[in-house]
Amino acid sequence: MTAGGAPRPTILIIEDDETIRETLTQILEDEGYVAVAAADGRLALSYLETCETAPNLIMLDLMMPTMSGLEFHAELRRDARYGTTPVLLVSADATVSEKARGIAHVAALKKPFDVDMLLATVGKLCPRAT
Amino acid sequence: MRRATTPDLEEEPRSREARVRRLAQAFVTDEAMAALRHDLLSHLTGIGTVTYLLRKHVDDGELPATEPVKPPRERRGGDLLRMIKEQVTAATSKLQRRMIGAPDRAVSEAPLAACAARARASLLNAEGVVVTLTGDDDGARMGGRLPLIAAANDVEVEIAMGCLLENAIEAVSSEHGDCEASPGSSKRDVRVTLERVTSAGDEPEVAFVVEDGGAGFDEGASARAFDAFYTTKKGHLGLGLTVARRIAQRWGGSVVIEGGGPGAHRVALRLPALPPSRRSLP
Ligand SMILES: Nc1ncnc2c1ncn2[C@@H]1O[C@H](COP(=O)(O)OP(=O)(O)OP(=O)(O)O)[C@@H](O)[C@H]1O
Ligand SMILES: [Mg+2]
Repeated sequence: MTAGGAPRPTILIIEDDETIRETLTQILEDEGYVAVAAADGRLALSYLETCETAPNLIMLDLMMPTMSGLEFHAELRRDARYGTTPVLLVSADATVSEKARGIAHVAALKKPFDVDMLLATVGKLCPRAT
Repeated sequence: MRRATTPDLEEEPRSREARVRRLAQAFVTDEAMAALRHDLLSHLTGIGTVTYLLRKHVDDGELPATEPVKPPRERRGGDLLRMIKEQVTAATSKLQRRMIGAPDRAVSEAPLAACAARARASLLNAEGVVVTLTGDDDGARMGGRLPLIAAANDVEVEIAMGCLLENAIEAVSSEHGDCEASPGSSKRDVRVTLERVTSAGDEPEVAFVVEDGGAGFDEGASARAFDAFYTTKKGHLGLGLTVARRIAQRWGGSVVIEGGGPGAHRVALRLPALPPSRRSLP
């Protein structure tokens, strides 16, 4: 728990690579976030339908089986609850920044990323109560 | 004859064949490169996060520090990753630029019937599978219907069609496992239909639909069939559908497994139709 017992921000990680998914969850938990992980867009959508606390940030891999990151994003925005939830695209796609440009509430980070850089970006998009 | 109105079809057959082959190879190489690059960068990301976590736990005293785990600051994961990433990016972008350029807008009319006939003719069909083409644009001369022409590069369309036809022929051939005939179709048949896709609101599309009498997509295969290197066939690369879809998407079209799920037997290549005003009618 952060100082003062303020609620910890929740981050939803959507990532098909198991190693990245599990280590990222751990890293973000260590940093004081609540991290929830889904292996693909469908699982993430069903989580979002029923979750009690809406995530404060969604980290989204662009290239995933069954449903691409951009398809997930389109679905996500249909739900009014998630119309402005910040989304951080994380992808090995060299054009990920171009893809994010111009889309509201979407930022991008290229894989492989420096973890310190990732945490700085996450911190900006989803400030922790201090 | 429509042939006379489309100069591209006059091309020397052998030089055209060579062009199709070269471009097909370029697409396959390009897809393979892109997939390898993606996998490599994913692995590097995983190594980066694992290293970070290990380091942190060492710093927090949760793991015993040993020399190899605690390198000097400047040699930590981040710098190494950046270096490798630069190398990978430089190497692959150089290669990719050489492979596929921007779509060749100069030749962007693909008469479906001609492309399909050529794709069929270019396939080695040792098994003697019967491939029937129906619904072609010959109706243009007889019934006054507009011919089916896609707004896409005809050589690329031929390659994409070849990928789908090849899969269908393989699905009904004996070497790729015992195929049970689906109801209503003969076991060794491949049927191709060329059709106009009319869905309200959308831009008009033309489609090349391949239906085979094989066992359909395996459980799980329909979800992953478009992934590069996904294959259920011995000795295959698993790039056919990846390439077909890439070509379709380059031109604003798509490749879809119709019916979805396991047991589907129809795969459709859809492309935007050339606006009627730009067609050279017979
Ligand atoms: N018509 C079909 N019927 C049943 N399964 C199919 C059909 N077309 C594709 N598949 C399935 O999808 C997989 C991927 O197809 P794709 O064309 O990408 O690769 P491939 O045919 O295995 O290899 P390559 O095309 O590189 O020779 C196939 O291995 C097969 O399992
Ligand atoms: Mg194939």
